[in-house]
Amino acid sequence: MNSDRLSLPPGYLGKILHIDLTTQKCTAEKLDPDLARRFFGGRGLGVALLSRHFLELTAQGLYRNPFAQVDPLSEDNAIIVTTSPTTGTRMPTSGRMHMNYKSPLSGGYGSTNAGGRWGVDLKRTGSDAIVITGKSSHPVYLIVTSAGVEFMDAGPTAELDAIETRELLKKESKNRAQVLTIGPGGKNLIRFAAVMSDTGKALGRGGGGAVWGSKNLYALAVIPDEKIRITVADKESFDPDNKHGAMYHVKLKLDLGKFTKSEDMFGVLASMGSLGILGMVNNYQQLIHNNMKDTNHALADIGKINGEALRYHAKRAKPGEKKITVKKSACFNCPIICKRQTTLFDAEGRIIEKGEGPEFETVALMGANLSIYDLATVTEACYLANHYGIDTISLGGTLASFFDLYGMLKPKSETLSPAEAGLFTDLTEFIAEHGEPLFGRPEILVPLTQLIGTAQGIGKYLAEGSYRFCERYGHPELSMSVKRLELPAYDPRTSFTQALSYEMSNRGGCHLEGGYTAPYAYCAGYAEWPAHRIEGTPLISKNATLKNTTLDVIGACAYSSFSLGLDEYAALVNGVTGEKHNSGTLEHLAVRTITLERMFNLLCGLDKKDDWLPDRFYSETIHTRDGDVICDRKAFAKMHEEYYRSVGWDDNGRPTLQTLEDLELADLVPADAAAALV
Amino acid sequence: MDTETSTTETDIFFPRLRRVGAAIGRVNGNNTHSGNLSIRDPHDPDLFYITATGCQCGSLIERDIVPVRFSEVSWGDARGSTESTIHRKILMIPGVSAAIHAHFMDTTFLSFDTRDHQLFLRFMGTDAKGREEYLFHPVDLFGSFGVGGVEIGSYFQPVGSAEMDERIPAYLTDKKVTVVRGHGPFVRGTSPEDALYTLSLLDHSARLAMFLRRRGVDVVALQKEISRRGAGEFFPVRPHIRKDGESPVCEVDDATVVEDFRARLNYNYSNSIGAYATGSMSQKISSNEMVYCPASAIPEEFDFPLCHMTLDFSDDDSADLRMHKLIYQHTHQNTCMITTNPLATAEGMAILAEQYGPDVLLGKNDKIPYTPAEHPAVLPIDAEAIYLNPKLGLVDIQQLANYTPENPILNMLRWYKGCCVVAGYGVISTGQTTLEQAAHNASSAERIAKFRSEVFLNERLLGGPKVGVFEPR
Repeated sequence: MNSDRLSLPPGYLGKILHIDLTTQKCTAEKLDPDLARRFFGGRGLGVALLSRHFLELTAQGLYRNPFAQVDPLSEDNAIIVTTSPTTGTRMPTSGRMHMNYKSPLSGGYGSTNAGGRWGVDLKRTGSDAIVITGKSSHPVYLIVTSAGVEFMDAGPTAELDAIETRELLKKESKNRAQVLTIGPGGKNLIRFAAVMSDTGKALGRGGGGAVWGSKNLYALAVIPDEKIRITVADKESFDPDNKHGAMYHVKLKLDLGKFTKSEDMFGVLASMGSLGILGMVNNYQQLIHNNMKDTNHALADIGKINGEALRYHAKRAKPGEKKITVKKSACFNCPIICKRQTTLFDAEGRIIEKGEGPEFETVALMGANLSIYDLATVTEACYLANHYGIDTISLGGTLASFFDLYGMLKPKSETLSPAEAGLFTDLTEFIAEHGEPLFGRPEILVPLTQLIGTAQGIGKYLAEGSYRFCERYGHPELSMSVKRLELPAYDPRTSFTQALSYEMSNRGGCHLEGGYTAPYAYCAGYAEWPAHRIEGTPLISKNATLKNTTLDVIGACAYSSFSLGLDEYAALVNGVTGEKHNSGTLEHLAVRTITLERMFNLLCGLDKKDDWLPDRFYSETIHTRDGDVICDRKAFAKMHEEYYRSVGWDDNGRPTLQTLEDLELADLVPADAAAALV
Repeated sequence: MDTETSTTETDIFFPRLRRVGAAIGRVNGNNTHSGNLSIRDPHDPDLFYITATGCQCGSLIERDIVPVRFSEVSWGDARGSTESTIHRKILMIPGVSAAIHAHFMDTTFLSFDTRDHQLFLRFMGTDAKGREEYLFHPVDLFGSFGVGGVEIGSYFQPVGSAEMDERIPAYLTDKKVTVVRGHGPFVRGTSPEDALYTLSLLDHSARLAMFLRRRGVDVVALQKEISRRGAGEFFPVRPHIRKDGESPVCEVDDATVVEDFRARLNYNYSNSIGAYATGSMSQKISSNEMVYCPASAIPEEFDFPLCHMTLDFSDDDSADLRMHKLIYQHTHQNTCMITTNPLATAEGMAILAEQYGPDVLLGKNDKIPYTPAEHPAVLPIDAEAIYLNPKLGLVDIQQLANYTPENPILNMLRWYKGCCVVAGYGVISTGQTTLEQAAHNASSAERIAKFRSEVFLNERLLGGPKVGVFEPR
């Protein structure tokens, strides 16, 4: 056994790999057991290493406040890729990885998570995490093995998209490598460019792909060493037949869970993939529509884009129509099997394209939110987004704001401000070729995706994301985003806990890192959280934040949390590490993580004023079966304060000095910033 | 059709399922969040509706009713109950339109038998995988005819498992109800109300059997005899059995009369004096006419039938109806209520068995005297009941077939202020004034039995005083 691991629990490999793209050198750092104790792994370890990187920039005398001063698309940004001790073990959904950086979209904390098996194979090169800094003078891709890092000239991949690059590197490695790549999105520094894994899994949110592109890093391949094993403390705990082990109970709950059970038991995710939840989201009138103006969809339209539609697309397609065939796939060690490999056929039955998806969020943002009820078109655009390596949530959200803006300004053609008039100037060429950018026009979805992916024409401006795009024409309020990150599929007016979680999410408008509360509308009984209550909502929302943060820290998938609680996760973690975690200690890890993330944002200049949904949700009522609903700004201000207090922050949303001390974060926060806290 | 288009249908089914769910909750047939109810869509053979996972079946709201497809997965499979796959299969049994899973306490309690301890159930063997199977046969008249034999299966994983998906619908192919050992009953019906009827009746029969066994009567031997002879042979009469699909008709115009009946029906159901839609209740309104309800326990918000009827015997009279007529023909009683009263009935059976030997419960009643000087009775031990009535009349079940003026039931009602326990049947309560008087007797009888039974158990378990110490002298 490696002596370095004696002081770390099982599950860790004990190494952080540092890659300097400027010097093209790599070094190995022993993973500090104390850092591992405090942050465990995944998102927790990621924000710790990211914060440490920015502190070092200060120590090097390069910046007074690098958090605020470093351009996210400069060489001084860092890319942190982390795993957890549970990654690659028999813990269900243990194939996840996390990536952190300063976000070129929000200008603050960047954080993204994906499944697959890349993280598993990173560990099997002997590292728990990679820290990538600097900037290569020319495009490179990296091959990481247990022997070290090879810096490869990415010239041959310069013209390739994300999936082509992956295929090339897989072929070169004789299919042994797992590959993360960027596509034209990242290379063109699109602010919502993703890093792609496999053929459609994305480290998607916040523009991490652009950070890679800015560093001339085009791909990162890991080739596992068969000799490297990921050990666990208690093998028997993972025996599904051991009634006293963690796995027995976990399997039972997953088998029974409505979302997680198998197809033969009519499990929704197993049967229809993630798109299976669209029908339910619509049934509870949460599904966004037309840039989140309302949640009203014709039922027949929903029937064209829901999970049932994808599952039976080929069967239901009439002669002369495009059709989609579907195959199941899954991430590493995942019993849920929500991924879908699809093939799109043209009207004559010829294959147009094969790919991964579309997922629920993709269809919600690029379908429902644009009034495009055409699954074949959304699928084609989804494939394109995968090739380009761009986040489909931000892509759909940006297009929605674009259509909204155009629709709003068009009738005012005589009274446009100079900024507003600029839109029509910038659009001349597009309209001439494709017609007007309006909701409900499926024929413009693919061309617009192409223009954004290649940053051409109007796509050049759309590639900046919805906030900057709308701001360019004088109407940033039409960007449905928080901290400039586009919101996902659930209208916040239909769930105040979800609304608050969007606002409090450190990476910006996100349903996962801020707390995935919207699905609790479908749980019924006490598990169905009050949709429009003010009292108590901040604490419910906070608990959701802690649960989802825990998932990212321990490397578990959010879908598993539909069936599992923190106690079950703690038992799994303990089976891997031999530690004595319980739900309370995991929540403590989560509080520490979100507090350090919050400090990162504060140091970047994002503060309380950025914790707000767009004005639309506070000024425009939507009509639902439950009545008219709208967010109330005064009530939300009160909820913000209660949320802040619940995690040890002051009324301005700044962690208190006492909180930093209690959470053992002082060494990761600039001393002067800490001193300025209450 | 996609399940998204089913909102309107949900609106239709919601009130029925809400009412039935509330009725189950009212008698603690579920805890706040357990159980599930389903119903087929009569207009779409591929669709059914089920209560949502984790919802409160006792206080359902509209969004708790979820559409689910038989043939294919849909979003409703995620929102619907964990046991929706079992319901799916139950509802596919020909003729079945509704299914309910609940956690009635006494029904579940009975299932905690083992092969070595057959207190309430008969061990019937194991299946190929070693899972034990038991049989329960109600030992009372209403349960025997209304429910019949109930198969109880043991399961390796008795919650939402694949083996439940497979075995429960199989049990229900030819039986109305099955019990998952240690978990609770699954029941099929032609409607949610029909399923509720079975559940409610089974729970009363289970309570009766449980109390009877605790009072020392070998209920398994009794069940064997009923099974051997068949209920039709074993029991002297047939009770009225609720028929599903008949819309209750109210022939009575006087709203105060209707409300009087409603109050008694609701009280009896909510307080478990009677099982849903069992028993009967009437008020004599002229020398040869009564207002009659073929039930004595109905949950709140349920409709109930109420009709005018002559007092002349008819060939198609049920045993219950004939008893009302007999009482009104030969006594001065003006109101009558027949209730299942499981505790009072069990207590009456236990007393008869103690005094005249267990064979009296098998129909051998020749040793039982019914003279003014000597006859069986149930003696209250609680002061309130003694103050009301120092004795309750008690007769064996064979008397139900006696339609002569000499039927000892009539004397019991005369002697004991209108209250008579009929072993294996229920309690007949009457009043010379209003239904309220009969209701008082019925509710009192159940409490009398409860006190007696608990003191008896205290004596056996804790060395407490004997029941007789408290009986009036």
